[in-house]
Amino acid sequence: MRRITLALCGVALACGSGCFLQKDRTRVPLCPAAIGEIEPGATTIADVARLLGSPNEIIWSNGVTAPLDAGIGAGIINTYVTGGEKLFVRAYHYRYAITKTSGFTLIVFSMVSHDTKYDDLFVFFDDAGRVTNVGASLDAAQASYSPFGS
Amino acid sequence: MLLRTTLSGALLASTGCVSFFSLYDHGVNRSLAYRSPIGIRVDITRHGTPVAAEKLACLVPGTSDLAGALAVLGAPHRLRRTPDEEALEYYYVYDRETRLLVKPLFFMSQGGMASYNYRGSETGTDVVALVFDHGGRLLRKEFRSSTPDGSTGAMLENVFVP
Repeated sequence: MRRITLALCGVALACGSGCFLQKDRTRVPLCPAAIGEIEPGATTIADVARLLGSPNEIIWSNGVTAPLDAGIGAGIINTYVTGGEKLFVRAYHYRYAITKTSGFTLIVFSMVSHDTKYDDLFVFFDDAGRVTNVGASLDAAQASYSPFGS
Repeated sequence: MLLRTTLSGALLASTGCVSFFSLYDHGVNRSLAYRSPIGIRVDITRHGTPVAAEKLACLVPGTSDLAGALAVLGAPHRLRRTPDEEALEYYYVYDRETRLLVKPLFFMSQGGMASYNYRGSETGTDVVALVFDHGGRLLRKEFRSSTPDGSTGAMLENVFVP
């Protein structure tokens, strides 16, 4: 009887246990060295595009946020006239995301944890296409598999 | 000896299989904790990085500027430009959510068994909003932290009568 109980427990553990780790990355990491080369007042929008590539999104001077589209605002053409109003690229937004997921299940108990952290970079421009400000938060590496935070 | 060997092998093999399949579609959804009438499941989700209160305290409306805010807080998570207010709004957002699912099994006095689903959740969002004028001067700052929304309560799901 005891052996049968042990066997049943073993089978339950075997069939109902498991764990996994998963890491999702979106786009490419931001290079601190390339960010360091951006100098407010000196670097142009074309330089930023050359150093960091295409941004995730472009924020225009009228507040419209648009994804990269046909080269407009991508350092090639940074002004745009619509309705008699001249718009210019106000900012580039770069984002790299890491999501770490961990989970385990033990027969009838399961715990799953998702942690998403970002590398964010905003580069601001004036109407002449020169960098005015740079803000970077490189936190993606702090993403943790732990369900209780890093 | 044979029994021990068989059990150990079965344990390792099937555990490996469960882990393997879990990689493809978060296979915990297939686990007994989710499928069976009895189980406990905990889901924890976090997005972003919280902003330290002491960093936010460094920013003084009317005195601080955009360059100083970016140096202290880093890049915002999103930016909103409002032409009517002549202002730029910067948001720093941190979301977290914990969900709990408990499915106890009860024997009923009139016979049979009842399985209850108890779902509890706690969500919170911290938002720091900074508003600058077009000269880059900080006009105002706001910190909003939503309180946990509590539990959604218990719900009778199934009754099994033999």
